[in-house]
Amino acid sequence: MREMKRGISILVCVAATAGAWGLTLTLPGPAGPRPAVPSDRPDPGLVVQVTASPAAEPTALPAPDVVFDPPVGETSPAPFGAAPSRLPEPTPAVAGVTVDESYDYSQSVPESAPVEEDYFADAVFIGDSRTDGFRLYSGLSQGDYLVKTGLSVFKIEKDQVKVEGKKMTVPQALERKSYGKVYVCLGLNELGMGNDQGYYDHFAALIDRIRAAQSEAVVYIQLLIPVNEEKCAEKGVSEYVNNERIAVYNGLLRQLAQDKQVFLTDPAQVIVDPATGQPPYDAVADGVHFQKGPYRQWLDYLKRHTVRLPEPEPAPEETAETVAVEPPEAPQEEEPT
Amino acid sequence: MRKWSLILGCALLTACLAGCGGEAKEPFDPETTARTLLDADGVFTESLERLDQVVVAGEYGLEDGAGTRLVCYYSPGGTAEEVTVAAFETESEAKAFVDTAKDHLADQKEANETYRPAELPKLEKAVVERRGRTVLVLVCADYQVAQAALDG
Repeated sequence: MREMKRGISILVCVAATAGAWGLTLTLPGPAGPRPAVPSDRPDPGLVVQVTASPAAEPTALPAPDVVFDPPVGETSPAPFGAAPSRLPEPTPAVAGVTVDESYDYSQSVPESAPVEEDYFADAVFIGDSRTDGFRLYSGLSQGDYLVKTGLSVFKIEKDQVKVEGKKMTVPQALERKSYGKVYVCLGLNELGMGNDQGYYDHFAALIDRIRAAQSEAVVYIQLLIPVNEEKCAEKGVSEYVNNERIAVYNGLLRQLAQDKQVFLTDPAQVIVDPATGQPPYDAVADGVHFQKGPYRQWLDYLKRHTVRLPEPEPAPEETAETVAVEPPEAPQEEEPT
Repeated sequence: MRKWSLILGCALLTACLAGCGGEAKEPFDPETTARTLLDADGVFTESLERLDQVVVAGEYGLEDGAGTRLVCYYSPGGTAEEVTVAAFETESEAKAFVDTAKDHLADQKEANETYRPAELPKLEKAVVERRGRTVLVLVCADYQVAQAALDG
């Protein structure tokens, strides 16, 4: 009997030890080794160089620009009982992505460490009512805005914006002041024109005007953020404002960025719900324009997606031996007929 | 007798004029007035967002002075609806703001003419009312409900 009791005690001890061991293996603990976390996103801490990808000519409508990752620094709450989500990724240490010959202009600027707000002190934002919303609600107190409700690249030489109480066109306003960065976000009002080539051509002409007036500025084109189509329908927004058309225009903007070597930003990455490819219903006022929250997310995105251009090489110093070269004569142009 | 009739007539006229003029309305309290209008069902057709004071000042071309209080709730883009209540240090500032507000509304009309013509009736009836050193600017869907809410 005593031996039997001893046997039972031993069995209980063994079982208890095994149970405790099992718990130790199952429960995640801060001191224990962390399980390997699968990640389908490149480590932003290492990404300072963009890999060039072949930019195939789109033969069909490009897919909407939807990124299925939550923005860095924001983690969605995991549903109860779900497997632990990814650990927050480290923030890249350096603000601004370095640009070199291999930079792929058809892709949006990769993430880097956030810049301070004063980065935008010498920035100008050109856009329509959405950019006006960004001006009003993003909380950014730096930079200038050349915005107007209904502004369109087709009418950029005619539409007037208000600058310090005076009305003038965007090109006129760009002649008044020197900027370090120019952000352009135009396209929603042009969706119904039924003139994709015209959109591309007018936008390209605008980039040329910006470059002519602001030769030192970094030019960013902002891809169009999709709309919430359900709310658009409810609020009676024109049918041509839809995500299929927006995807077509975003394809054109990618092509334009590559052709003109300007930088793309894609704020939809932090505003659009990955599950639907659209901004959440409650995040939009009328399907197109956002409530305050998304505009703040937009600003946060812009802070984390900037580029650093290489320093220009210093000009060779002039010496006494430098020989002045006369400029070649300009070729005679034929008289227009 | 005639003299007394004259005196009585003058007194009645004075009393009548005083009655017609009514009591001077209380100045607007920016926070309370805006909140009253926002809370009244039917005044606005969408949820307006509050603007930072510095943004409101920029919107109206004002210096963001320490003595100025600006409370503004603005449409996030779907409509032209807005309630702005401004309180200044002096009446002359408030009077100047009335003109500024009218210019602002004229700009809004111009912007909405082709883009959102359905908003024009709201802008046509927009209210700019000064009470002492305070001014209310209101663009809304139902002005009767708004008035009733303000009258309490």
